[in-house]
Amino acid sequence: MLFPTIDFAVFFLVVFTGSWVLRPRLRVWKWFILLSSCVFYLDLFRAKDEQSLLSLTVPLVSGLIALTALGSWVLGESIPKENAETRRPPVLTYGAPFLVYGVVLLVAYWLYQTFPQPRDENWRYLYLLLGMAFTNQTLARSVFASLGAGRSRTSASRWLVRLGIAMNLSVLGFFKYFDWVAGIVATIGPRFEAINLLLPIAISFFTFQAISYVVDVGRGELRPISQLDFCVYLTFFAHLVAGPIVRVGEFTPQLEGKADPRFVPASEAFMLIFRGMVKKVVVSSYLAQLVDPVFDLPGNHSGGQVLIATYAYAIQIYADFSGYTDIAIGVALLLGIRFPQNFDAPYRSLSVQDFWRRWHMTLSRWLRDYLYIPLGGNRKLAMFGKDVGELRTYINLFLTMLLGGLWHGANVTFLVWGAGHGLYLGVERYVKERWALRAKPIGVPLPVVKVLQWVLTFHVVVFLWVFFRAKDFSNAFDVFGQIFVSSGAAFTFTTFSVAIVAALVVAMVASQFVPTRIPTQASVLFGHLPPIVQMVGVAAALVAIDAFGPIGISPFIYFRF
Amino acid sequence: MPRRPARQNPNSEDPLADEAPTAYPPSFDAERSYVGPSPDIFGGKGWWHLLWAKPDKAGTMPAGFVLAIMVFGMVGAMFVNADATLRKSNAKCADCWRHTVADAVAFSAGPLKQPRAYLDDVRGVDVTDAGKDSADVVKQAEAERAAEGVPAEAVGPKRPVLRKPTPEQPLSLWVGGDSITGAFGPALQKVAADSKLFKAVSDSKPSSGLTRPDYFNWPKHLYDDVVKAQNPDVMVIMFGANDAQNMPIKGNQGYVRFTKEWLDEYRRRVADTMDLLKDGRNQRVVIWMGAPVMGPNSGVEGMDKLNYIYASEAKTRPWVVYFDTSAFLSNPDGSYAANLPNAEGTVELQRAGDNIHLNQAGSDRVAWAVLTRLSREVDLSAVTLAQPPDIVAPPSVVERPEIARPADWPDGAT
Repeated sequence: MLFPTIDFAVFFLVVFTGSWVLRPRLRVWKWFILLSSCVFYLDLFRAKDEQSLLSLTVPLVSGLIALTALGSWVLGESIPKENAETRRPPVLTYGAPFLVYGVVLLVAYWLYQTFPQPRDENWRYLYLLLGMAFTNQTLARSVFASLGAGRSRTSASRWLVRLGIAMNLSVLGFFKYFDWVAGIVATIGPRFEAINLLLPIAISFFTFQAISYVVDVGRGELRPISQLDFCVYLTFFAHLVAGPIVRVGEFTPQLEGKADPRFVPASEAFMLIFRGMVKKVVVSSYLAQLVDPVFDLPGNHSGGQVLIATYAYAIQIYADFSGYTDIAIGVALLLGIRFPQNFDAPYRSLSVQDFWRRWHMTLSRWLRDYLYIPLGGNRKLAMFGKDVGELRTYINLFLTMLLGGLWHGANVTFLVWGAGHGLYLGVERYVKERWALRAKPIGVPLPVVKVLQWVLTFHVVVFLWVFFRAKDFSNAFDVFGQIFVSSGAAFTFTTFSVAIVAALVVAMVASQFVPTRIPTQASVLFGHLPPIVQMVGVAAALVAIDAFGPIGISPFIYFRF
Repeated sequence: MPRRPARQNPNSEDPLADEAPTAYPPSFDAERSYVGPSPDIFGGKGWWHLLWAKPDKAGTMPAGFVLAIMVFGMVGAMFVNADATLRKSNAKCADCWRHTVADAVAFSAGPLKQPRAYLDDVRGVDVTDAGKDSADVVKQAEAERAAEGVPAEAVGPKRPVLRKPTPEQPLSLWVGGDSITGAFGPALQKVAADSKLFKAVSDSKPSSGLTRPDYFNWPKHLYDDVVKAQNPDVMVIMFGANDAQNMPIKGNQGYVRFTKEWLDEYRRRVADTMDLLKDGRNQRVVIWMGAPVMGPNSGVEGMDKLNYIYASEAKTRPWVVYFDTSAFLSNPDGSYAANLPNAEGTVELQRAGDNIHLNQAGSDRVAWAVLTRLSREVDLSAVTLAQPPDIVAPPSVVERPEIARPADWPDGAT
């Protein structure tokens, strides 16, 4: 279920109540959260008109929870002790992951063959999710058991970690990229029949989270958690679909029952949810209605309209994604769990490097910790035995951004978007270093420099977003062509006013410069109002958001991932 | 080997984070942790505390109060928003629990509905006209035509003859309808625009049709926003996928779908819609596309009945051309097929996973077929239209000359 819907509101009321009532009894509470997350995930795939939520979820989820319970018992739910005290035979340590992986695949294959109807698809994806939870947990335990004294890495642990990464990436690659690669291969050589796989929602997110767990255990930074904790972590509905990519180390300690139901951080949570809903339902949906026709057929619009639509798309994707994340963080906060921040006013950055520290922050840190640093980071590594100075750094930056772009979708445009960011980061770094070496300053006053930096950064980001949004290359070049080469508004059919959209874009960008203490103070003030008044406020906000939003919710952009 | 130190960033100078990450919030502080018996989710406060608040810690409140705020806030919003919710639930299903609840709430909300009505007024959104009957729109159209002084004979029984479009002076084309046109519309737009003979606009509204004007009133939208505002030369329109549902009439009454009354009423709406689309000077061609045959497990059926209505009404109206969409999206015997051969012989998937909507290949296939059909009504010879063989249907695929009355047609229906 999408966040800003009545379905989710009802669901959340139930989960909120159940969670706080059950919180003192930790094990039961964790099972309850797991069950709710499974219901949430199943609902995403439900054939809305044919199946009612209850008839579908109650039997299936009970069955799956029973399976999880059985699996936990079989695999041992207790937190494993350090290596010296473990007495598991090596066969079990190194064989268990393969065994579990094999069983999961076999059962999946059998289920796929036995129930091929589309209406049965939904629980198959829940099975995928839980299967990943099982396999990764088994792997992590094996990795931990194979670590050397003092949690140092051994060759066995390294290989197991590589296996884990390969397994997760192959699952992601299969569901996400198979059709695309098959299409590319078909143009060159043999014809593959495209399978037309339905992409399991959130697969990019949960595979990345699983990889972070396995790698963290392999580096000795983390002890494996219990199977139940890991299942809760991987499936938690607040961050499952597109929420911040949280680490086990920052999530599972919060499951240990320290949240006090007498002090729910409600002001901050309401403020986040309200802000998120305004951004997602009002701003993003409104801009989507204007931007979509322009990107579908740039030739039908004047150059000015296409230009303003490009800026509007930058705002749209920001409002969409940060709105969704705000709602996710607020919802988790109401349940007593704090997520890391994911956005920090990205359109006020003065450089693209800064931009990536403010946009999708959890993805950036994931890429940094698990891709950039293992590649070598900015250590001046040699290439082919020769000292090449900073070259490795630039290559690492480029590769990281390129793969980050590819993660967003199976399309060349995403690769171009990522490559663009990677190239620009390298260029920016180079220019900054040369600039810093200058003996004499140029003589331009600092505020002017900052404004110019901001203008440059903003336009680079907006320019690259066109590739992110366009269906394919030719679409992107049509858009650019229309902006730069068009002969003016000969025949425009859409009637949106450039002025209004421009005003909205300017307002949203300006809002990025508002210091954070202002919304924080506003939320604190709201919290001091009597609850009766807060109720009226919540009701009024919901009505206003519904009134100013469009009919129906525009599909959340990051849902495709 | 030395014990690995606690997690730290070995690369303190990498460009993706040049100082210790301060943006990541700290974990819960120790002061908040409590160990003890299960506390009261109302924090030991009585219900009267709802009337005033004194949070023990700034920014927090007991879980029970948060629950109360959310529940009463949502219930309050439900009552204030009752009309809008009723409209939306009408669109989903006329006889499910959602609708019954929405009905009851709207009935009992009374004066609470005023703030939302005021908001809608301020925004200039006109919601009262949503249920305007198609017959009224036709009367309005005829009245306005008469007011313009257009003689009635100008809209005679002759086929419209449009001028020949050229790249310097293209014709305007409007394509729209329900969510199938969400993909098909832009595809036709592109095909038409690439031919340089048309300037095309796409206008699709998901979940819409002619059965539920209370959700979206197509006759009114077509007349006010398309015919009057844009005055297109060619219109390509498709309904049907969402129309196979019960039709609410007055209050809680309705016609069960595909009964005699339902079919007669639907026919009337189709006729009215076709009538209001005719141009005062007979300078508009309307291509009314039939609904494509739907696949198994799609949950949509009865398109053959709707297509019979469309085809028979179009026969008596020279400005309307019925286009047999199903012929291009089915096997030669008319049965559903998701994978169909193109003119090169390659079999490709034409439908989306729900067996209803068209994917890109299907949209392009039908778009070229529509353009070819259009070339029989309008002279498109100013430009050579090369039909790409890897997209279009094989030449053996043609529209059926006659759409027969379905075998299970109820007695007495027209």
